[in-house]
Amino acid sequence: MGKSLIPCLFFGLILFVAASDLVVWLMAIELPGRRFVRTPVKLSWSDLRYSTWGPKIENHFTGRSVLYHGSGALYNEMFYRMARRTTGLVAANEGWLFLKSNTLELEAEDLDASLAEGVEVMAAVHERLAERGKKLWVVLIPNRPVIYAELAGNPAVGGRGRYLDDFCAALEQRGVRYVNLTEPLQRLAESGVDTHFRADHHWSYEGCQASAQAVATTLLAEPHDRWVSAPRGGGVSWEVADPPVHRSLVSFLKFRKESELERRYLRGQSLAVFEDDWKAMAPDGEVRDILTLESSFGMFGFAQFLESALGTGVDALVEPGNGSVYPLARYLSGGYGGLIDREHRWVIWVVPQYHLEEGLKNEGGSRIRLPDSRASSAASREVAVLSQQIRGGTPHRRRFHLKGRQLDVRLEFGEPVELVKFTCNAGGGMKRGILTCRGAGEEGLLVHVGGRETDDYWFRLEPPRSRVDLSVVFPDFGYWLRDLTWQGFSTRE
Amino acid sequence: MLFTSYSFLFLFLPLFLLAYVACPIRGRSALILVGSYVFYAFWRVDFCLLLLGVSLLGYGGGRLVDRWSSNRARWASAAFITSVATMLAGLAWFKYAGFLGESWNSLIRYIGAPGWTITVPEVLLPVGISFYTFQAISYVVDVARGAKASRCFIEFAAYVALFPQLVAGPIVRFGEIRESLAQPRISGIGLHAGVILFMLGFCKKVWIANNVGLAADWAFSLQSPSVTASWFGVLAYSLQIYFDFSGYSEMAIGLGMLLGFRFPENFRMPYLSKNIAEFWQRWHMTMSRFFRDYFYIPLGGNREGAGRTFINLMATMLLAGLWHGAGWTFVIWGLFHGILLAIHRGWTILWRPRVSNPATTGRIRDLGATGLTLLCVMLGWVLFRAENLTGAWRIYTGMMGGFGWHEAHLFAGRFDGVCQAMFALGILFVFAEPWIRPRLEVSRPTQLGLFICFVGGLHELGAQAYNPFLYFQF
Repeated sequence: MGKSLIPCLFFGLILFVAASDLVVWLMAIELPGRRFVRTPVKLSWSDLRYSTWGPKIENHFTGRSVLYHGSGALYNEMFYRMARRTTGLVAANEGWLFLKSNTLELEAEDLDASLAEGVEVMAAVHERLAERGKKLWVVLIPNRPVIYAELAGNPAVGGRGRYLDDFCAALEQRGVRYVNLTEPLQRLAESGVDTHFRADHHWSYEGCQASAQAVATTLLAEPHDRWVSAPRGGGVSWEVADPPVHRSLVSFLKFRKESELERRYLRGQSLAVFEDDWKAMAPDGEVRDILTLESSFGMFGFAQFLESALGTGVDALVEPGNGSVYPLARYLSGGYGGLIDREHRWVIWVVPQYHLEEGLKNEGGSRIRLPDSRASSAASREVAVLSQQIRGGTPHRRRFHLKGRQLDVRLEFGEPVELVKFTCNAGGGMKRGILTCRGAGEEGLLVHVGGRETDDYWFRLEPPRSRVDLSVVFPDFGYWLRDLTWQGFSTRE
Repeated sequence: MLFTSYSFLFLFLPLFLLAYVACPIRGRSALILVGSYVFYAFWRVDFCLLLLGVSLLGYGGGRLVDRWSSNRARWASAAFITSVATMLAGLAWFKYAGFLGESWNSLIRYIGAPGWTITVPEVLLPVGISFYTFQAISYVVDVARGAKASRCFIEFAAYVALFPQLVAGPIVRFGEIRESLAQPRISGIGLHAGVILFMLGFCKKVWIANNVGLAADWAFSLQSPSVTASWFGVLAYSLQIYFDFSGYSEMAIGLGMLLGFRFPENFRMPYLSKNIAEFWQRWHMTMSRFFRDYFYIPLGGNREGAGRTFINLMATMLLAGLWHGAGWTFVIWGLFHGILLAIHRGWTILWRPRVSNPATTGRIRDLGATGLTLLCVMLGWVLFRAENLTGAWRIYTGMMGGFGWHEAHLFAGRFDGVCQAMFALGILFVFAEPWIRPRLEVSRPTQLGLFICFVGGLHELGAQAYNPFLYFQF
């Protein structure tokens, strides 16, 4: 063998993996793995022009690679067994896994800044809804390590442990109604019930139910008019997860049929089964008294539990995977078919602590602004568009298909405009996008994805300008924008 | 495409190597050219034209200089100046236009003449432009100095675009690989050594640089870093930059060996240097060599008196700083090293002969010299890493105790066992490298250990991306 052993091992490894990937690709074998999404890579000539072919192939390749799935799963499994550690996670006793980012102490200055920003946003939303005769309730969900401080190895004595208390004190000063779920969830945890899933940052069904009960208790203590809508009356049954409901991490490698991580995960966990799940609670013809705006935490039946606890109908808008600002922003901008104009008297915005701690930022770090609902009323005189340039999209009937992740629109108006309205319906992906406008601050508006209706996005330009540059950025490839229009307005007659 | 990405390791590299082995020897330089452009186009297709442009300028300039140097000296000079100046202008535009524009606007705002501000161009920096432009320039200069010009454009273009060292060096001279480019031959010894070097570089990058980088990122993001956090962060960054850059260079040299090339060494245990001049002979050696041969020595080097030597050193290091990045932190970093080199030179000339006594030389003195050199280098890295001068000043203030002494609760639980172990391993490796390197060449168990680390590194890469528990969908 001499000097050939190491090269043989090296080339053998990379050729084996490459050949395995080829086989998987040719035979279209569906590899297991929760995050695996089998999507064909679509390349076109425009990918060469926009240099998107490389990232597309890299994305596709990484998502399909045998090694990506195999080694990732195997590594996590083996390493967890040996070192009680998995990448990005803190592994505690009893199968508890914590997101490392949730257990770290943050700089006091950053926390203070995000707190001030969050309170400011909530106060503004509170005022806007009050103008429409609606009451805002902010429901604040603590991070798991705050509830399970000892398990997470974080004594929760730092700023993050006090964060929601400080936040609520600031909200109280600004007259914003809130429910802090820290205490009810801590009480439930002390009674021995898991308030959260052990290997996920969401609350458990039991934690969700207890939270809904705590919210209902607070709401009922508030003087209110008689409820006008009846609950749907859908039933809830409970079952215990055994065997685990999720696939093993390493099942495809046939090391074990059941992973150590998952054996500890969900076994014995109570799961609520709803007759009508949250999707059926989207507002329809009949409007209920209460509307909840929720992120993925809503998927565990918060609205159903709340409806049962209150004894009145609750409408729910749940937007999993898009954060808690997204449903609020869409609601405020007149999305969901102009739902903001309907008669919901109480609007409950459910916000997890870590969404607040991060500040109002989109994926990628772009700052988010909430829609300016007064902009449309300020627009008095439309200014003609002299020229328009669109880059990064291919027109196809009513749609512009994005060639990469970004579409740029440059508009030249006949005179300086103070307000710009951008209208479109976005689709082709799951995640929200962000729309920025040069001259209107660094923050962008979240671009709503899905549905058939178009959404309006308003920007105020300071100072007014004739040339306007708008950019829509999505987190992935394959998005399109339909019925794209724009208008510029001057507020001066 | 990074060397440490799956798409490179399990898509590009196997396909390219299979094609390379199957290709006749005389066609391999063409294959290298195609492969290198595909490699570069993974990042940006349009900038392949820039790469081609630099290749054409270098090749054309070299040919014209070679043709006219014997009978039309003025024309040769004109061709030389045109070629080099155009390449430098391209580099200046892509790398420094934004920096110069912003600096101009800052100056204008400072003196209070807002009407003189300019629109700062938003120029995307092409990956590796500093490296391949310098290679092309070195070729034209070498031809002007009498080296033989290349007659085959494909060979020359393959030299400029050679993918193993296209993005981050080492900066190779045409003469060093000319013969290999004409007839690239794979050898058993080259394969063995290349694989070892590639795996070593990969492990340095994935295991040590990536892990200690977390600590450096954290420390440099603090608004008021304590003494411990500042020093910890600077040490972490010193380890990160060494293991990152030397790891990448070793992967590049190893890949070159796989293809039948022998690239010059780029790092030779620089943190064990006993003085700053030695550090620059061991750190990014091909860049130091470039500046020495094409700038410092033509300026006069150290042959024209102490004052001129000082100016030459400062000018060279200022340029080296700017070469690393367009920003004031890099300018000051370069000047800082220029001053250190000047002090060292002054010490060598004026004082050292007086105090030098064989009796006092020894391990303790060497250790002190190494420690002092490392300390100076680490102080310099603060400027190199900080986003701006304010950030650098924050870290310096923290290092001097301006923000208090410790913040134990911030350290607690932040860095897991692997991160801590890699931190310790990094420090250990720096000092044990003279012992480890020879063993890697001959010791089978050491080589197998490296292979296991390489496989582990692949898994680490996979696991970094494969976090099924995070944000999974119910």
